Amino acid sequence: MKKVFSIAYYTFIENLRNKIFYIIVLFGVVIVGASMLMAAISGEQHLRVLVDFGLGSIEFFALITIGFSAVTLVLEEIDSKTIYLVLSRPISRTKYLIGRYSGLLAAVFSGMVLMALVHLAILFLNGWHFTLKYPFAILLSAEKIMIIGALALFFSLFSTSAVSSISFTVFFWILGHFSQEINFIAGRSKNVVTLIVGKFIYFLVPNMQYFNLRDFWDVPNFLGNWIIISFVYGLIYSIVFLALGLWLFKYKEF
Amino acid sequence: MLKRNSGYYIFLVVIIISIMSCNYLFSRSFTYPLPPARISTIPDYTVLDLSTVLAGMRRLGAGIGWVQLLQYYGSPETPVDKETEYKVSIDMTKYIFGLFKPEKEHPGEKHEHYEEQIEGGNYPQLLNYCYRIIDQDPFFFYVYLYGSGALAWNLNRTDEALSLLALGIQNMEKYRENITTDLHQPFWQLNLYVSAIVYKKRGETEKMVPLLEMASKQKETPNLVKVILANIYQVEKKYQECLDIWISVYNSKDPEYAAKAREKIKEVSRILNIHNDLLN
Repeated sequence: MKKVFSIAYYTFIENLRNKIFYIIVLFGVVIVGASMLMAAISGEQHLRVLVDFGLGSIEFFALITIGFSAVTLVLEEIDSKTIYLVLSRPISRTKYLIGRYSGLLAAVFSGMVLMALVHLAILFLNGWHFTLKYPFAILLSAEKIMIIGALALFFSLFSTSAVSSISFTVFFWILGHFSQEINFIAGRSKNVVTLIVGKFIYFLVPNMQYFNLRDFWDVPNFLGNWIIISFVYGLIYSIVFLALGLWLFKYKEF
Repeated sequence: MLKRNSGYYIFLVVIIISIMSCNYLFSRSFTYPLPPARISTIPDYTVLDLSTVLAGMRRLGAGIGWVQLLQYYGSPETPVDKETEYKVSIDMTKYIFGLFKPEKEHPGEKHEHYEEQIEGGNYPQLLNYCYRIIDQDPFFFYVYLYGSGALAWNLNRTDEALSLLALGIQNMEKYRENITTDLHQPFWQLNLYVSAIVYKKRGETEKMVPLLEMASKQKETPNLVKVILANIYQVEKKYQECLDIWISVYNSKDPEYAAKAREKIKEVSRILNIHNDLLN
């Protein structure tokens, strides 16, 4: 456990020094600028637009960060041969990968928290009243990021090219959000092939809509038990793909 | 080698079946609360709307649609000359950054009323703009109120306003049945607007006004509807009530109505012969 923590800590620091803070600064500038514009052009609904814009941006920036970082998490170390320095020590590949993944998640999550704090400050300055939906929306976005991180890591170990890994990850992200529509189309289709393919995709791809509380903000009584269920769902999915990644990493030759 | 590959394939199939079973179990306890995405009612924005659906940001898409509706409804249908366009955009930019206060008037100073050039219009796509937003987020309650108010009272298209409200009522009913047992106050407001618009259609203003009064006291009522009531009060010479509404519009700090509200507060205060500290 101590070894996993050491690798996680090293990855966390490495990511903070490299990318996360640049993105947060960029986000801060964008959101502050957007809030002024939004307040001016959204009329009486400026708070709603401000909330949606902020939550969407936080998730988007986190997605970019996790997508690019997870894909290069191991590939970069293989290219620079620094992986030998770690794996030549008495540390298993499993512990190494879990440590790297946890450290990356910690870095991205801390970035999300910082972005959320900037966003909240802007919202309060604009007269917004706090609701519990906000932290839950961020929490569920973090779950999405966790799944995408595991998927990106899996794809990066599955394929040797960073570009194809990112493409696969983005493809899964989009399919995950579109799966409800795919299910709807499959259900309406009279063609058996469309039905089977549609249902296959629907049940295979992680359903990102489970974590989309920011889209269901005004749906009455939506919170409830769903938070716990979606949390468990996200956890299972991440563990499965991380396990698959571990399995690939175990047999990977450098 | 083949034996090893077979083992991999079996492992892969087991994993896929496990993932699908897990997804199946979870999908049984989840009801997607939004209707399936539709082709945009404004063809120019089809790609934008589809992108927000694919990115899982339908609510943000509805917000963008709302801003675009305001831009559409706030822009002149007939093109203005370049000089006016330039002046308006510069003034708007200054206004956003707090450098311009259009309502500052000095006695004897000539005032350029370029607003006259950019008022009026039929806005034939207004209903479609509203539908576009509601398709993305049927819970964007404010759009039903604003859209129906603009269509019925500003553009005199009561039938379109009623069809928008009917969709709102249908959506709210549908979601009340499927999702919740408590769909609080917004629901009855739509019925209130339907009644007021029906009275307007029949020309029964005396029955319409009390309903608008009730509507204007609600939290979510658009300033547009409040302004309609204020104008009715002014025509009926109920100046105190008219003034109260303009003050509430002014206090809402809505930049769209800020200048107009100041102007009206001055005008009505002058008629009532009272001094208003609010504008100092």
